[in-house]
Amino acid sequence: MLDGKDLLICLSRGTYGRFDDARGALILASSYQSRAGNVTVLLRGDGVYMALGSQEPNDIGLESLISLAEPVLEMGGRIVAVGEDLTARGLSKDDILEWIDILPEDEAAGLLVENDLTATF
Amino acid sequence: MATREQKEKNAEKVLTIILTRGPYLSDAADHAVNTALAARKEGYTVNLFMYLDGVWLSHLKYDKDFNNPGEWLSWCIRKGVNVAQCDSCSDARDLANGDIVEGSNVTAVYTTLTRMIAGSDRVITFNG
Repeated sequence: MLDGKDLLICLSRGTYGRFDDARGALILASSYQSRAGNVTVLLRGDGVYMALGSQEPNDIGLESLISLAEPVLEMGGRIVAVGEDLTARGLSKDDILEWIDILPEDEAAGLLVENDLTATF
Repeated sequence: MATREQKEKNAEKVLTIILTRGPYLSDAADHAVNTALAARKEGYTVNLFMYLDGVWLSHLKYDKDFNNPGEWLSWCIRKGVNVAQCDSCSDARDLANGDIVEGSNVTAVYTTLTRMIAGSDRVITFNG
């Protein structure tokens, strides 16, 4: 186990689209959480789509990102979504995975200060 | 430009650069390699990790008559930047060892990128 610093991973791109940023962010999150230090994944902007509980990409031949996100939580990491960004997209607490916390924008911004390092996707 | 003493002190500071976009799609690759070279010139310890589509940068091996971030990547390696790229991302794009610039370490996110980040003072991602 590396004596790593606390890492904030910001994801602001949507899922299953043009880029595979969400997948890359979650792979890094689980890797870092298991080997190095505490990870918080912050879903903002279109990144909040990663939180959807009803996502079922298997029909289009893609692996569900939920299977990549769950290990982050199981190992002690945290995934949070910005409430305002959910609302802007017509999403509420009922639409997202129950283990994803909702934070208001100002508290989410505080995560940038609280964590030692930040990686953005 | 930093003095020799400043460079020796700067070497204790570690910058990790993560590139997630391929060359020519945007100027993210250009900014990543130029930042790496600039930081290295000041004496900092620099890691450059190519992730997701960023691994395509390592495929630019030959001279070109136009802007060539692959050339700057080779400079990074020669100047002592620790250059590595995601093995799974490379496999997914059929980038085998013969296809990529010499000196880039094909390795795992789980081992190398986590170690790079854990030992860093600053991390910056180029994904525009």
